[in-house]
Amino acid sequence: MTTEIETTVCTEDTGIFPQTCAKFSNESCESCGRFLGPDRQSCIYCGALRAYRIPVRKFRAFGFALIAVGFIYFFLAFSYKPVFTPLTDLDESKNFQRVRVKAYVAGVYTNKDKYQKDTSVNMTLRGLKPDGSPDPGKGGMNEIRLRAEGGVGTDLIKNGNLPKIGDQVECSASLYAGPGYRLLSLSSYNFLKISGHAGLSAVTTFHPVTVSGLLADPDSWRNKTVTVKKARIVKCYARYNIDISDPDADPSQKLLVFGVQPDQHKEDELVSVRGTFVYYADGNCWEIKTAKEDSEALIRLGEE
Amino acid sequence: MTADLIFMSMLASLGGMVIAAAVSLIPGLHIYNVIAITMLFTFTAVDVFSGVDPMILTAFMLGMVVGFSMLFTVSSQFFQPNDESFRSIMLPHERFLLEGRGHEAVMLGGIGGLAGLFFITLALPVLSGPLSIVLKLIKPHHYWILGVVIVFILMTEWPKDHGVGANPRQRLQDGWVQLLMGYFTFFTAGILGMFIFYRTLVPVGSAFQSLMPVFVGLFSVPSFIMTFVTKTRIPPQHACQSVQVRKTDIARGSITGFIAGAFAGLNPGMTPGPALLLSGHLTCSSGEKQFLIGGGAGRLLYYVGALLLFFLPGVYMRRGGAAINISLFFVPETTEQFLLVCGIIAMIGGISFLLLSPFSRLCIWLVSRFDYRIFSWTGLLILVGLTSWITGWQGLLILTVSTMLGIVPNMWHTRRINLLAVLMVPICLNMAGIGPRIAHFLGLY
Repeated sequence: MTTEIETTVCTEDTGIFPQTCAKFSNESCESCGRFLGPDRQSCIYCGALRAYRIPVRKFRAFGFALIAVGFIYFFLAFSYKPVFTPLTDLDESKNFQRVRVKAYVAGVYTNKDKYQKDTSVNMTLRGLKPDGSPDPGKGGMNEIRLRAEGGVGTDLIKNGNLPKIGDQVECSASLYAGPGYRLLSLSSYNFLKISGHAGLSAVTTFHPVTVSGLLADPDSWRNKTVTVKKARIVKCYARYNIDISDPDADPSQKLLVFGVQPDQHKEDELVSVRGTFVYYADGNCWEIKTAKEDSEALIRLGEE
Repeated sequence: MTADLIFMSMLASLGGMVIAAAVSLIPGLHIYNVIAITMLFTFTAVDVFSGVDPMILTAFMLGMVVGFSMLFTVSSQFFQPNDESFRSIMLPHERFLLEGRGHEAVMLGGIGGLAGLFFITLALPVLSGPLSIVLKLIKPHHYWILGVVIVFILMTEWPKDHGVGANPRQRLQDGWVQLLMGYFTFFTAGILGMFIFYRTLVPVGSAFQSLMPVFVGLFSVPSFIMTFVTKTRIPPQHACQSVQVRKTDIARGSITGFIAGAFAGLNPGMTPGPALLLSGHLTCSSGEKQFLIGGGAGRLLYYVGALLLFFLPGVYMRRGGAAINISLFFVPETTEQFLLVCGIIAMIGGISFLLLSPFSRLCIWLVSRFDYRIFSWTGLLILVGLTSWITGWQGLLILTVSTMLGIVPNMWHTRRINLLAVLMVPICLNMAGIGPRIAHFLGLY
């Protein structure tokens, strides 16, 4: 107790209760501080008893104990090892549940919303083998789409958190699963963490081919990821497209490559190209569609 | 979870607690008002905050809520004495103040709060499963539970005045005026609530604080006005080193508070006041100390416990102003986040409790040096300024109307609990599915 309070008690008459002027002592009421004398068991002013008193310092010990509890929780938060659900287990029985998954990114696609304000991000996640390495097997229950719509997708890009193909990611998302569909929805950008990078080749099987080989039997290569190790640029278009052919073959045996920047290349340049071999219906031709996120989709080899 | 994020969250929560302590010095100022300013600032400087992990801002708000829940009653304990001529019943903390035992009342409330914090941090995390079941069970029944509470409040309003008039006419008047004014307050507050829910004047941009002018007007400003007009002198206060309380008082008071806090936290439209009234009847709690301890425990469970439910895996219940504001920028999803939130609550709760006694001594010192009305004037200016800034002139208009209604209980010696009809009536009617029809009948919808 401070001296000031003692003084106040002794000198100020409130007019509400009769004051007995005395310094606070063992003969004062512990509750209101007024002088009682040695024999009284209860205060004549406030009615407080001298018995059944608990020192405030005992409660302080509980305050410190609570702080200790807090630090135990901090340690638990730090050392907590999350339990990841395998992609193959994400079925209808877990519909609407929040799940945590660890997987590899096999594809990333972005698109603006109709008002051109936010960017939605769709990712194809592929599961891991039992030994933790990426499982390049395609389709089935080992693959699922992760959607980050609108603001969440925009935040992913703005915060530099957008994964690339081949990145290993850990995410916490809501599962929407029903007959014929499975989808993970990300509700905040900070629930996707890039935990490693295995490289594109770790998650994709590339088929080394030649342009003439592709055009000879296109249907057998349809929708497969292919690599043309060495090709010559035959023509550069204004935007996105180039034509390639085998270096030593007839230039009329050419193949369209989509998704590149022609202004950075020139005709007769030797390049290595990789992407998905697809049929371009509008142009009535076959093409190699490169992935925007694949930094090695078109590698310049030089000129002959 | 990284050590960096945990450390930054700890620092942010401590910062929040310091702000809460400063805010708690001004009676009537609510932490939700400060959260409103924080949100306004966050929305304005969204580019600055976009790079900050939302967990850090959440930790900051948690620190504010926990610190405030423990400390905010201290200033009203010392700076807002009540003149008994304006009251039908002197509440325990008011009586303690007039007996020079304000500090003891603060510590008793703090003990209840401490018990509440132990319950929140140790019991709630393991009650995730049962709680989610209870929530699913009571969800379809919220409307009639709230309806029963309304009936209980109206029933307990039934005559309290002893009728000491000189003749039968005066005694009849004494018996009925208080009762009728209580009902008038309830029904008028109910209509005001319907107006606020269906056709509020608050601009859309400030919709996240649409209830602010109502609550400031109904509760804070009338308290300030009563402080200005009161003639009460605050006697010298004694900062006791021990509290006179039995262990059974602590146990019964805490249990009463747990039930009140849980009831208010799980049922929309409920606040700790009516919930404590109900749970006090349920547990047959008696005595001022049990009331004060129960109030402390109930307060913490309502403000902090209900907020923790927002982070509790499997529950994720958004209840209360803090959770609603946090949900605007943060989505709780992982177990680590929940563990971190528990840690912040425990750490800030413990520190706040340790601060309680020095904080109370500071208030005793302030009240012995300055006129207590100064603090109410400060609070009034800040709150009216805030309301005007956040909700515009429309909010000030609502505040004025609410103040007129909020002053009624003080003038006619009725209970302020009736003013909570502003929340309970529209929520109850909406949950029962007849809210829009009633609003249409009132010409609001």
